[in-house]
Amino acid sequence: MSTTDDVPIIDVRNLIVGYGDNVVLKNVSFVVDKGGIFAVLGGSGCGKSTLLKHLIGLYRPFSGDVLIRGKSIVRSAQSDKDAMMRSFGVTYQNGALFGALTLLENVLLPLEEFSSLHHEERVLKAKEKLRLVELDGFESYYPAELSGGMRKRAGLARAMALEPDLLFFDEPSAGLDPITSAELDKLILRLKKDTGATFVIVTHELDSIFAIADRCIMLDKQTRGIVADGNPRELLEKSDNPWVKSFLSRNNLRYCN
Amino acid sequence: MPMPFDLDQRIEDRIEEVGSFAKHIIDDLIRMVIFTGELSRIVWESITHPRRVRRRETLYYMDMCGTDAVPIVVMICLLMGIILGFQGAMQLQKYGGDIFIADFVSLVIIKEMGPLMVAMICTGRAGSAFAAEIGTMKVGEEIDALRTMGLNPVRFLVMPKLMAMLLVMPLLTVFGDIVGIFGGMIIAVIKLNLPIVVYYNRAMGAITPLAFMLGLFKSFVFAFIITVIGCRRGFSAGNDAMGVGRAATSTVVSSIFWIVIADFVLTFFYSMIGE
Amino acid sequence: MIEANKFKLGLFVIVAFLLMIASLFVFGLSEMFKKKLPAFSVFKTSIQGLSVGSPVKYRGVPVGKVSRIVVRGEEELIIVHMELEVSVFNSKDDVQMNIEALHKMLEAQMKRGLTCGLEYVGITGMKYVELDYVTEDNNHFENLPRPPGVEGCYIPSRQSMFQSIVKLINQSLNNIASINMPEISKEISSVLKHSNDILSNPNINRTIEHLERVSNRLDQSLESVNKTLTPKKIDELLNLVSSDLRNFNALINQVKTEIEQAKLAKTSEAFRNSLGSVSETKLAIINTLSRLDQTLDSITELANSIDDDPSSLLRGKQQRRITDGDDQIKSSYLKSAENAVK
Repeated sequence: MSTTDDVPIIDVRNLIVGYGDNVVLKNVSFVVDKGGIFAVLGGSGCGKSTLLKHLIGLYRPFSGDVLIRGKSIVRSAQSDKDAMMRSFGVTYQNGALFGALTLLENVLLPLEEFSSLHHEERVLKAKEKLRLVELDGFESYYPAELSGGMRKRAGLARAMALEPDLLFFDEPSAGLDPITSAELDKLILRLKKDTGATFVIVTHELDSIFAIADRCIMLDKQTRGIVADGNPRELLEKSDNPWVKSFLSRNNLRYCN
Repeated sequence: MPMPFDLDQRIEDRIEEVGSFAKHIIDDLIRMVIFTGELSRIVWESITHPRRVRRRETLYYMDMCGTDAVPIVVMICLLMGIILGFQGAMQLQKYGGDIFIADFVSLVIIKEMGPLMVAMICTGRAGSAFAAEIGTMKVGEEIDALRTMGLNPVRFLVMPKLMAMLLVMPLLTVFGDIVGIFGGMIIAVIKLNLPIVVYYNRAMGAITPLAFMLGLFKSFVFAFIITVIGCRRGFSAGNDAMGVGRAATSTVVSSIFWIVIADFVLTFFYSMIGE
Repeated sequence: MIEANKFKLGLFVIVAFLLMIASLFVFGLSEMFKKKLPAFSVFKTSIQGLSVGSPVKYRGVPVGKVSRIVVRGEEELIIVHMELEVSVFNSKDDVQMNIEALHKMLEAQMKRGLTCGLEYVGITGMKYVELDYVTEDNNHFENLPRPPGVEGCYIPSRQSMFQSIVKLINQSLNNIASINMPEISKEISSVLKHSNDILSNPNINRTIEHLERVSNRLDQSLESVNKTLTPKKIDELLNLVSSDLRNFNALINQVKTEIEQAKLAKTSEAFRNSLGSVSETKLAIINTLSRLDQTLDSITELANSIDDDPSSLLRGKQQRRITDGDDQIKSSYLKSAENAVK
């Protein structure tokens, strides 16, 4: 795979996506460079999660292309796509842990399937990942026995099992109290520092964005496209778009119904 | 603004409804065929790389769909044998054909009722469970998680179920067959006062090994149908609890429908080879 | 949570597999391993009711199955292949036979008349192959030659009892069919017409009337004869006759004495004449009496026969339809019926 430094890790070109006859996003184009935390911001129903699912190749767009490390995830054959998917990790809103497996088994799963390591080495590695998300001691718990935050962290551990350099995170703070949410933000920041991976976070939580995001794009329901692109703090200060300003300054009630 | 009782419009609507219903069924059928195709690929892959089949899940589903179903299968098939015995006895007694109750019960159980009853039980037990399980996983984004881990959900979720069902359902049918014939014997002995040995000899004479194996093959086919429909409905379930419930219900309905169709086709082919 | 109960599952799988194998054996897989003697027979008639898998029995004992049925249309032959289980047959010293010994035994038995025929299993119309001997009663053995090119032990076929019954019925039906019904009916109708004509003839009526009258008279005369001819009366008559004769003798004696006394020639001549006429009269009386006896006999016979079959007076004597043997059967039947009623 040609992963030279000058190729952006994600390159989205004129993406048009939607369900059935509904177009949710029109002509979305942006580039994510290696390193740092990239946030996709927007109100409910503006298509953040939809965009994420297109970025990770789960859905097929109407038109346009998504290039991961210079390679189209849209037009690849299934086997290539599987390989590309293995090169990044995804953490879902509720962790998406397999209820039939313990935490350790959940984290072990990708290792069992794709790594050539010995069983003992795999277990060690999985335990290390769980320690990384501060879940050591919960290895033999089933997902149903854990809290929402713990599940998210376990999902993160599973996403990192194959040591990807790109991590997607869907709504890390959804359904969590502010303190737990803040702890998760801290964890993400630490992981960024420790692993040097690129994070793509989809969220509507402004606290998180100001706390962790290096760059963000903002999606709008009305225009079905990107309305702002840049560092959240700079956007708050410099943006001439009143909607962006009011959203970032939490004065967004007017636009979100 | 249309008239409140615009007949043309209403007829048009009805036709459209029928059309869309037909389209829905055909689409469903096409998706089912596509899914079966995908599954066939995975089955082939599993045959060429047997290690890729998840053994632990397979064993779990064998336990769940096989071992745990034995009591209900035994009970239903025993009762089925008794019922068939009763009905047969009432009719055959009129003509003095008492002894033919053995032929009647054993052949009907072996060829038809055994595989069919086991299939019905497994549809209710396993098919709906598969649909609900996969549907719930879909709601919890677990299917997406699998896919983004580069794992094929069909291989990961369907293969163990399919393997388990294909292995276990014929075995359940063995139990059902034997117990069903035994049920017929109870009636033959109690109601018709036939000696056990006479019934036994008669039944063993009536059944050929080929008929027995063809019956088991029927349940093999039924296992495939139940698993495919259950899993397919699970994958296409709506993204909420209601969707999962609907998926489970429609699994049972479609499975029974397709089982009966398959049974008809198989019986037809069997009749062509003289069984 | 997703762990199978290995013991339970193992038990289930093992038990199910054992049951499956056992069932297969019980249902007849074991037959595959049994030694079998291939045999065949040839039929020229319909084998309706026989199918592959039908049993082959030796005097009712199942000894094998029909394995294949082949039709040779050009020769109008149906070749029924059978598999005979060797293990059923034992030799004279009660040892199980091998294939060669069974073959030899069958060949020997075939010389004694062992053939195979088709018999009904039950009311279903299914048939089985019955190995049995041709006997006097069911001697419908049509010795078809062994068809060339077929392997195995050839057992010739015979017609089954049912088939021969059917054949007989068919023959009778054919015979009935060959009767010229129109001709017969024509004749019958002409006879009827003639008899009608005769009957409608007034002479006949008169004849019948006469006959009736005659029979009435006969009755009357019979009665009067009966009345007149009681033994007592006959005795009386005889007494009378004997007393007459005695008187006559006395007269003769008297006349003798008178003649001796008178010695008249005329008288003597007249006497001789009268003596002759008297002896004539005596003969005539004896004749009359014997004739009367005969008439009495024949009248009795006539009366008896009229009593048995009164219509014989009109139609003449009929042949008896019921024989004595039948009478015996009838009476024994009636007796048994009586007993049953009791």
